[in-house]
Amino acid sequence: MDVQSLLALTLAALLVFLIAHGSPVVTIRLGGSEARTTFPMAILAAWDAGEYGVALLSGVSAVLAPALFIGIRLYLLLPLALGRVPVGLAVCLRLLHHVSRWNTVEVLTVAALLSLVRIAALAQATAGPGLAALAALALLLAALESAGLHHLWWRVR
Amino acid sequence: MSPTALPGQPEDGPHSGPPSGQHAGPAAGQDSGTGWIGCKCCGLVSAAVPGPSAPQHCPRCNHTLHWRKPMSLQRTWACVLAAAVLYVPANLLPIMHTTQAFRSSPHTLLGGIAELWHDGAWALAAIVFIASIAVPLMKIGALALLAWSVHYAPQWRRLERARVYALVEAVGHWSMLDVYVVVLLAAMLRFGSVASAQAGPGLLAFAAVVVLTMVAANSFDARLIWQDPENQ
Repeated sequence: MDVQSLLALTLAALLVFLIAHGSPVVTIRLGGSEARTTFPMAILAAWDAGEYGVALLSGVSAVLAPALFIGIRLYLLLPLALGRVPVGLAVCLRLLHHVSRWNTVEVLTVAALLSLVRIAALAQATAGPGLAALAALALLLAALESAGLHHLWWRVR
Repeated sequence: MSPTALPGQPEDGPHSGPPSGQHAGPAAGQDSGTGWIGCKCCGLVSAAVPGPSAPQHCPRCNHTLHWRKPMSLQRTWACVLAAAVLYVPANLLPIMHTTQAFRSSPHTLLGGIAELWHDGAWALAAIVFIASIAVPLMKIGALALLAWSVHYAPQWRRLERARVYALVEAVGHWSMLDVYVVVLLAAMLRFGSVASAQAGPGLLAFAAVVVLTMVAANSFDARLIWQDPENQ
């Protein structure tokens, strides 16, 4: 895959990432009130409840890792598409190598579906746009991952 | 990441010579035989610098090059044993407390699966069972077997062992499933007055098992599988 199509995919992933974590995954109706939950909100709630380890782990693997995965690629691919070699290409590629190991968006997608099923027993719950975006993000990140960045190593001097 | 997918580079040849040449001493036995080190990060193959403990860096990406990862087996064993110990509280302690109509009830990992099964969600129960029970157990067992066999059965079924290692690396993060489910459920029910959910102590132990097995898999050097016994 050439730099142009990689950049297009990465931009798409950025938009889908913003939707996935910015819009509710599940909406719950209890009586007259309605509660929407995004995943970052859920992590903050876990942090407030004193579950620091779990909140940190979820935040790193489900939010920070995909954010870096997309962000570093954008930083590399935007200058490359314009014909320039970005500063710190080697460092960024090394960072990406470590980041992709901790990216778990596909697991989060299945987890969101599961919690939707389990919450349906207790309250009236509907899937939000964040759930569909999570599924799309999992596919986009898998496509980016399998396209790889190995050919970019040949630009490193 | 595929260290084997190394593009040929005939005109340049492999990079040779260390960034700092002062370590060039006599070969220390372990390095003799193989004069090449593949970079785990960018895949470039470099000439090995002979010497007992010369920290060599990849000339392209500056990643530290190791003929074998240092202390690979010790680190793997440490993480595997810690994960095995924590696996017990992860399964015995409740990972979640739900409060419904002023009645609090604890939920363990297996209890949650049993609930799904009784509700008729067999496919979901199977997914959760595989992700939360089978995968961590399989990883602990497989990594212990891999680490054990390096010394005690070095030539036994090498190809299968390499495949098992690849599988362990590929499925590792799926165990995060239950951690996310509890985080989401607790947040969803926070606003409700009818029911609420809190994470239990088992969840932290379970999360630690997941992270420890991932670190253990990362610590294990797959090249040890292919190592000849006399080369150790």
